[in-house]
Amino acid sequence: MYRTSLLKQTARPSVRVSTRQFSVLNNQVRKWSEIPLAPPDKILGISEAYNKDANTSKINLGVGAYRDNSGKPIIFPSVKEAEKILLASEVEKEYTGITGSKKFQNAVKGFVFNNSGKDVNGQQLIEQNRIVTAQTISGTGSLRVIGDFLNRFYTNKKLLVPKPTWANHVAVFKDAGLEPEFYAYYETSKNDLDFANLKKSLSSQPDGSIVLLHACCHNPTGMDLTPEQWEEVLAIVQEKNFYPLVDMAYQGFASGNPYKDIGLIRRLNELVVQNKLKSYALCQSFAKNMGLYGERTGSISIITESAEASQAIESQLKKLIRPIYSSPPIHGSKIVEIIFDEQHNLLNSWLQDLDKVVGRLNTVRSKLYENLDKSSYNWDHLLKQRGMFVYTGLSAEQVIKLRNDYSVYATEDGRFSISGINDNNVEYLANAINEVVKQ
Amino acid sequence: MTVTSKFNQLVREEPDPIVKTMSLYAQDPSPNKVDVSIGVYKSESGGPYLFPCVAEAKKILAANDPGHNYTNMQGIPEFLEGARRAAFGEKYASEGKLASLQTISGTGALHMAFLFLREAGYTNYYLGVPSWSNYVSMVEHVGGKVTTFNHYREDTKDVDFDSVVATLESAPADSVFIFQTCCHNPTGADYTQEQWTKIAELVKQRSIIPLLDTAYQGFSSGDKEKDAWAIRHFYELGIEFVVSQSFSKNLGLYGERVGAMHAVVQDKEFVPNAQSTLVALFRSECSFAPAFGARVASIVFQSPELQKVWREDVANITKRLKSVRQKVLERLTKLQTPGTWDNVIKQEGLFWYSGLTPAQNDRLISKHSVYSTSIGRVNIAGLSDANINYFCDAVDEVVRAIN
Repeated sequence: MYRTSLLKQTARPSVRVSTRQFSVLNNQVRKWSEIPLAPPDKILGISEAYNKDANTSKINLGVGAYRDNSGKPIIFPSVKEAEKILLASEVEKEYTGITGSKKFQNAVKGFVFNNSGKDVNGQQLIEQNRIVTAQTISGTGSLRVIGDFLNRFYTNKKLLVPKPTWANHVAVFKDAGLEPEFYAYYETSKNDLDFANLKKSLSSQPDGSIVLLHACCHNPTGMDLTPEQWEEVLAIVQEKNFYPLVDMAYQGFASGNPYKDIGLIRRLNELVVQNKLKSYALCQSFAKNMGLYGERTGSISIITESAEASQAIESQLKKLIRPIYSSPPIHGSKIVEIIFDEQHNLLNSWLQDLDKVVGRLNTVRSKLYENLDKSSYNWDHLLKQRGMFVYTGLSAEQVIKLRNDYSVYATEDGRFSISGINDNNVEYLANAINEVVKQ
Repeated sequence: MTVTSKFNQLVREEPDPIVKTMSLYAQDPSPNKVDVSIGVYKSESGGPYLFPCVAEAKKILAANDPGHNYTNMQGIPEFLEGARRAAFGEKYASEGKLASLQTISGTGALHMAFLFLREAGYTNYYLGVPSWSNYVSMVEHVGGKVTTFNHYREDTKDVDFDSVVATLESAPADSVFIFQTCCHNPTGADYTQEQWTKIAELVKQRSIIPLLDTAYQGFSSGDKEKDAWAIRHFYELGIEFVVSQSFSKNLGLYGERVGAMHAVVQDKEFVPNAQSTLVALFRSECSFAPAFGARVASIVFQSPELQKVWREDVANITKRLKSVRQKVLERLTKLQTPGTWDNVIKQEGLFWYSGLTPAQNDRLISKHSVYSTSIGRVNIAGLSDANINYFCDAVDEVVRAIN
């Protein structure tokens, strides 16, 4: 019998107390909401409140997915084209492998590690079978699988994540049995990276910790490290023997070109080839840069010391995934395969689609900046930030005021999704912000 | 290489046995080779099979492309509604007693069921064996404990119902029993309605939590409604239980990963607790279940015409499976193969639990290029008029050669 029934019988003295109650579950959910940044129910709450708001000028800045200049979701034309090819050619739906198809794995390897044939180190690692790639349930699934994997096989449970970071990072890794802890990253009062403290806090951590690095478009601040700063961080990583775990959810959104956004990966590959780094792992997804959000298409890759180690690691990944979900979904991965398959000639159109998307985000970012009142607040950080978000630095009170007085809906950490901004509402939004800041 | 690996304590794992069998099959150059291993339906021509209702739904979806945005964490509402109706029937699906989650097909549904039950305090499992090989590792993966009992009697080649009853009568209260609703994997030996009635009675009496796994709904009787009898009977009796549901087989959506988990909460007041728990648990596993396959399924669920086509698809598949079973029995009878073989027509679904030994099975592979599983589970769908006789002759030869 479920506790649901037992709860109704509290008058009876014989109620067993050894089983946990559903109310305990609620405590746990409440605990999650203490994690910095907005947990999912908050975002959903914002969307709900937005939907109910009758104000015709209302703006939703909570969405984590791309919207075009008219506020609508888009399908990348190249993706649509790939789907047509798929629709015309697909004759079955049989299972892919536990870690996805070889074709998908190779597409990811070529794209991310080999820079489509232009990265010598990545190419060497691929040729030596030192990269194990597994298709996963998009970004979350990749983080979860690598979390479970490290918890089982890595020597250290401590995982260092930047403060702030995507709220789900902490939840996923904790759930996987790791012990996430923050390292300094961003100073909200200065609206800037806190690089001195970043280095200091990393250096003070125990040797061998796992360190989570955002490859580009840091979520939520949009503030990335420069190549010089990465050098300094990677020096600490080597000195402290950290295990680098790279999360790359927005490849292409920093520069508009996905091949330009993999500087960190290329440098890591170089260190591995030079034998200065033993191994690292990468989580990536095509949710944002192909707009495949709901299809759940992503991967993890583990860079190993040898082809032999690769075989062991791959077999353990399979053993780990099999009792969780058996195999990943094929629709999104087949689209990715088609886009990277030279015979279909879609790669360039995809790159153009992506460039257009990022172009719009950057235009809107500049327009917002232009319309903001720089006399009462320094908005220069907006132009330094990259990706889908503006990390405004507005306080929770100011965000709530924006919501109540102007029907502008955003999460209380002051993260605005640029997707919700367009030519028609940018001035209204800037004006609302200006008014709230003045008060 | 000077560095020692941070992962040096890893050993290489054996591949999943069935994956190993499949790769051996792929490498075998014999023109007569027969694949009766993995549980995937094959058409009469031996090729993969795309359900006509799915082919049509894909066209409709492409013509009304909703894009690829994030769905709900709970799942696509139309999909969940259809999934509930498929398992529980129109009436019960709409009574508001179900907490449902779209999952990564059947394995994902079971995984979420195990996590959900663990959150509710239940980690003590009972499983009838032989059974699908993944159950035990899945329960252990989330820290649960599995006690096994006999589901099947090798001598009668049928359900060992005495063992089922004895275990239900002796298991501690709040234990979870994993049952397959139809087309038992791997034995094909299902419970009769009378047996289900007895099981439900004991479940109620002894405060047991049933987990009903339904992966082949429709493939037993040819009628999806009939195959859901146990689920609806448990519901009617006011039992609280969990259902894991897959559309891999009965819509042929295998690789798209389409499934759902439902918790029956008889006190509606607690449905939101169960529902929010499911979403919270899923959030730190994979956030959302994949959209495409569930959208295809939703189109089938919502269209009366496609529902009809789907019913016919399932009926036709079952009909073909039954006719293959009959032909196997006829051939083995004609060959006078030593042993009794009528279990092939008594068992239901994709699998024939042949009773062949591992040694006989090895010989099937090495001498005849017939790839079954080491436990003697034969996927009947891998057979057709083109290879039934070859297959039966091979079985006859190994049975005579090794006994």
